[in-house]
Amino acid sequence: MISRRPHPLAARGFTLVEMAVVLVVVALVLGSLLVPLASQVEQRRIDNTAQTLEQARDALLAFAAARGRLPCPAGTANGQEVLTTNAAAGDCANFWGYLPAATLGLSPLDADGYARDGWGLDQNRIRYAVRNATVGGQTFVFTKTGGIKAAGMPAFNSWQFLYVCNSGSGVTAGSDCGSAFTLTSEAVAVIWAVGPNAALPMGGASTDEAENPNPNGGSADRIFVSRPRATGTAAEYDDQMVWVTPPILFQRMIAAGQLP
Amino acid sequence: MTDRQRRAGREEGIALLTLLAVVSLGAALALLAMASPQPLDLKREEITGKALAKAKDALIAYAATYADSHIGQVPGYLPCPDLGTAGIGGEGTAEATCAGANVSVIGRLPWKTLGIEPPRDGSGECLWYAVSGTFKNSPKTELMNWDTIGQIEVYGPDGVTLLAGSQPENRAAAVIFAPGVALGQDRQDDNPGTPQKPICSEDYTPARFLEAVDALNNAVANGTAGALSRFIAGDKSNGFNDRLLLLMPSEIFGAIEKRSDFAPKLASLAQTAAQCLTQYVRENANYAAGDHRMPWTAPVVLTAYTADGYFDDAANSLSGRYPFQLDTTKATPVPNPLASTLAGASCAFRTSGADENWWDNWKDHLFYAVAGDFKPSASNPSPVTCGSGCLQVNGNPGQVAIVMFSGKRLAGQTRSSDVAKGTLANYLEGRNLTNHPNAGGNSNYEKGAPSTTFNDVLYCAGLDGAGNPTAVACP
Repeated sequence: MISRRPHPLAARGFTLVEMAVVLVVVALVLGSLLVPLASQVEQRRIDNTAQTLEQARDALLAFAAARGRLPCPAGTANGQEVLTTNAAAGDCANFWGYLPAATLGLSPLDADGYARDGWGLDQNRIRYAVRNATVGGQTFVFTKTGGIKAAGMPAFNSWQFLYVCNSGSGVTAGSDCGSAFTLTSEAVAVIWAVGPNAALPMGGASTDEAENPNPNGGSADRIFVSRPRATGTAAEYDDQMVWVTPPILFQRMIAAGQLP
Repeated sequence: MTDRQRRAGREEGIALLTLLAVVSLGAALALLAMASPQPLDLKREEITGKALAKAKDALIAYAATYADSHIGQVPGYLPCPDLGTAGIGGEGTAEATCAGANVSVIGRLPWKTLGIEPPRDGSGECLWYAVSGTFKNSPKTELMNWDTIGQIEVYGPDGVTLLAGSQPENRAAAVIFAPGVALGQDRQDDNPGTPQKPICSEDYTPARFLEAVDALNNAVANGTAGALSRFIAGDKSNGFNDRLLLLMPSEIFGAIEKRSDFAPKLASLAQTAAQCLTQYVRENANYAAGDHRMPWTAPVVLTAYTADGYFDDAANSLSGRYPFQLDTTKATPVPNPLASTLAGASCAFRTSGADENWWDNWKDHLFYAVAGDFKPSASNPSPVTCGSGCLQVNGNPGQVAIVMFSGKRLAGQTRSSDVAKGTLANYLEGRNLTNHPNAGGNSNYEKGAPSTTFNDVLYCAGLDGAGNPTAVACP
């Protein structure tokens, strides 16, 4: 018996070493997994946001096909569109604000009837702007019932509505993209998500993001900025944006018999 | 404790640790497998599919609203691609004009002109686009209507089976390409020193994005007018990763036919044609009182159906195509000494900006029959009532002339070649077909509700109370 004592001791020592090896292996595996996992979670949020925006646009076009007008943005009370008078007048209380997700019948919605982007917080509600324009003698032509039909499609040629630029530098405030590249000059409606930095005190405040109204303010003129994601205080951009232009809108309304 | 018991305890400890190691490694592998290549590929394919579909929707919308965005034009045209000639500032904008008439062109999808976001496939590359020469908006083809055929054939992965083009009517009007990642191609994405980083790429060389397989090269469109371009929707391989989405002529016109103003517009062409005839006669009566004779018709078979000049009236022809050139009528014995074409000052077909382009693009659909009492060689002055020497519609007498719009081709009809266009049965149905050549000048024409076997639209010219020919809806 005495001669055998060292063996159990040695065996116990080996077990500890083995445990350490296992822990190291587990740590390495987890370490290598968690970084991609974190970026995967981020990517999934981006994808979900893109999907939400596409759904929002489809719902917007479906709304136009059914009602012959685009909805007004929602206010701060709930996800319903806000009109000063009524749809026959088309006078939105505001022409930019939140996506009227409840009016559009989107799902899922938060408790107040708004749609949220992939980050899912209060400040991550999807935004929406629609152009306030008088075309062919029709005031609030896009938000008034039958406004587009009354103006007639040819009346919309050569019009500029909302601008989407690829940079906030060089834009002519309130007018056009200036020296920045113009992605479109005829967006009838713009739908955007403010992304993860919406929650931060300085979130959404880079030159580019400041063109898109966000929880910290932002310019409420007809200039918007859409460009690839980037980090860095000055160049930060994490908004995601889609837009609707007349040909696409008209085609949906034609297919539904709202036009011509 | 016995030795045996101790050994047993040791072994249990090792087993637990081994189990832990195995389980955690297994879980790690499972997670890695979940996170990696296969689903990522599927995700990319899904993004590519959505981008292609969105681009196609936008192209259909462009074609269906072309007459609204381009006043005075007919619908159906697609934009030229973006060939990069306008520099970076013009990125995404269609060329104002591309190559010659009926020459197909390949380039980048003009997303800005179409009003969509830059369309990127799953690998982040922007989409490419080949447009058939017969569907591009500049220079335009001669006849843009629902019989216009595409010039693009697309082969399946075997390089033999045709996905598009087994019949001329099935040829594609356009193809949208998703280029995928570079396969050894040296894509020049951002040249240094340029003022602004482009949205998609500065590289406008198709061969750096699109590949060839089975001797079918997706990067090259046939540069000959009227020639077919051949592309391949191949399987993914080390040397090929393009994805294609086809846009067929039937899809373009399917969208146009949904427009509530389209059928009335086409029906109005017959009315306009009848009005132009009576206008011609009225002008002639200013020179020869009481002469209300109508022009001869053009033959059914023409040299070609493109230019106005081919639609030339022929002597003693009482039924056929609607004539544009009236020199024969003018020579025998002269109705309207001034006009040698149906270009009366107030004919809407010849008034720029009105229906001129509708006539130009749809003229092969218009047919015409004239009454024996009102043909150019009939007695003068013309009778003031229309009797047995006049045409009938469903047995209703009194028609000086009848204009027929042939409607869309029905099952069994084809108009894909000049030979097919020269066959009256490919246009008209029922008695409107069998009455030809209307030798007696008093045939009974057929008006009816559109069906699967009949879809001609008629408009008549009768006599008003004073004996003047007047365009009226057929009784």
